[in-house]
Parts: sequence; structure tokens; C-alpha cells
Amino acid sequence: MTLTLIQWGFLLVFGFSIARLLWLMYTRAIPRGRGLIWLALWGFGVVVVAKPELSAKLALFLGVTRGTDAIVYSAIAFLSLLVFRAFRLIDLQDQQISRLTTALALKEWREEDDPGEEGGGGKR
Amino acid sequence: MNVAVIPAFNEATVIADVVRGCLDHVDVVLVVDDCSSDQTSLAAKRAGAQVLRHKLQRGAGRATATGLQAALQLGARFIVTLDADGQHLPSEIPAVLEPVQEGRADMVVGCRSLNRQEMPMMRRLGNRFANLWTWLHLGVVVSDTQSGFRAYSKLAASQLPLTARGYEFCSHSLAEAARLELQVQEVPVTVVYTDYSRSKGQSFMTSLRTLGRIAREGLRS
Repeated sequence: MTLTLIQWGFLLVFGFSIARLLWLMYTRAIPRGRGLIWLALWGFGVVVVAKPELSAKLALFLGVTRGTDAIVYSAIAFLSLLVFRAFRLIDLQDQQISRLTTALALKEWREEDDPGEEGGGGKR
Repeated sequence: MNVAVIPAFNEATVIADVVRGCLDHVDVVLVVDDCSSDQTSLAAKRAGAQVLRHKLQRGAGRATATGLQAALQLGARFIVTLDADGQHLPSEIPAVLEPVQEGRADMVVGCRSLNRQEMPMMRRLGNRFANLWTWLHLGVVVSDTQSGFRAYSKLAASQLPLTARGYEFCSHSLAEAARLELQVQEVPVTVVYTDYSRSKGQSFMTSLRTLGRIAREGLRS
């Protein structure tokens, strides 16, 4: 089996990603479930790059004409899901930061010594 | 107790006048300084307001939510919110508060468009588009969805989940009020358009962002 330069390039990227992932899983820096999903995905990437004819079989199974189409469609679907999850996470963190900002402002306001005589009364 | 809540960001030059004007009509004025880089907090405090400071800039919506929470902690029965740039007349606070004080409404929106001759044409068009957009995405019909001059009963202030950050909170709070079946009433208010208040208003890009966020809130609900 002779690999082209671009195949070697992809394999290098996937190989590095998998090695890094395994290390993160070993040190428990990421949850095992999420690590296994990425491992399956990048493992699939390695197989498809090393054995491109498998993508043609996948295309046949999915009912599209070419193996490349099957890869591109799958990648777009997966990336869309990732973007959605990323936005959702950003949204959640944004809301948490907002709640924290409010809580801090209220705490400082309550703790201020001057009860605000000029403002027309105490705070509680 | 009546409390005025004023969300403010870099309003040091005008905030004192707004605070002093409000103190003639309410018991306490709360200014929520949304991480200003100028002397907004100091100016507001010297004018007689109680000041809450956001450590991070979170937007007008979040600043209003902080102010409403503080007002509730003070034991406020009626709360009025108005912009810090001086575009709203504090002398109209009694008129905006009246429907909630008389129990006719849980929430009052001071509508600028009901006094339409005062609003510049571009603002009026933008406002109408925002109203239409809000109706399309959130299903709420109000003459001036983007007005910050509002009054809330204690019930409304405690029940409304004000999670929106920026100016989209204006539309979002109306949608939430409708969902909670709160009584919303509109009252005509005057708007003072000075060079300063025009420069502090929503820019074109901010408006686009607000419309996008309203659409997103619509998708969420």
C-alpha cells in the first residue's frame, strides 16, 4: 500500500490528535465518554484516509454517488452539531457570568457601610 | 416604597440631573453602573442615588435585572426604570407609575411612538421595524417595544425572568409578561432627543445585533 503525501499529512494530524486525546483520557482531563466519541471519530478518519476505498462502500450504504460526498456530508453534519453545542455552551456560560455579576453587585451594595442617607433610606 | 432603577454605562455627564429629577418622585433611586470607565458611579452617588456596580459589562438588560433585584430587596412595591441618558423626563414618573399603583396593570410601558411628532423619522422607522420584528418572533404587540421607561409592580418584577443581556431585554420582557399573563399597559411619554441622547442611542450595528437576539429569543421560546 503506497500512501500519497496528503494521506501522510492527514494521518500525521489524526495520529497527533489521537495521541493527545489518549493522554487527556489517561490523566482524566476529559470525561471518558467524550474521549471515546472523539477516538471513534478520529479512528474512523484514520481508516478512511488509509483505505479510501472504504469511503466508496460507505457512500453505497448511504445512497450517495461518491465516497468523497459521503465524507463531506458526514463532516458537515458533525461540524454543525459541534457548532450548535459550542453556541449552547457559550450561552450557558454567558448566563452564569451574568448571574455572578449581579450577585457580586448586590453583595457589595449590601456590604457598603453608608446605607445611603441621601438616597432616602437603608437597604433592607 | 417607590424605587427608580437606572441602568447606566458611561453617563457621568448627565446621570446627576437624571437622579435628582427622579428623587422628586420616588423614595429611592438605584443606579446600576454597568462597568463604566468614567465617573458615573461617583456622580450618581453624589446626586443622591444608591449605586450598584457590575464588575463586568453585561448590557442594559442585565443591569436592569440587577436593579430590579436590588429594588425588591429594599422592599419596593412599585418600580420604575428609565434611561440614564436623560431622554426620559423624570416628571412623567407619576404618570407611568399610576396604572400599577392603582392596580390596573402589572407592567407599564412608556410609549414614545404615541407622541410620534417628537421622534425623528429614522428612529420611528427603526422602532416600527423592531415592533414588527418582536411581533413576528415573540408574538407581542406593543407600540414601543424598545422603550426603557417602564413601571413594574412587585409581582411583575419578582416573576419576570430577565435573562436577556442587551437591549433585546425590552422585547423579551414583554414576551415573558405575556406568557405569565401579566397585565401590560401603555402610557404615552415624552422623549427628549438631544445630541447627547442621540449619540448614546442604539447604533445601526447594535440594532442589528438586538434584532438577531430577539429572533433567537423567539426560537428559544
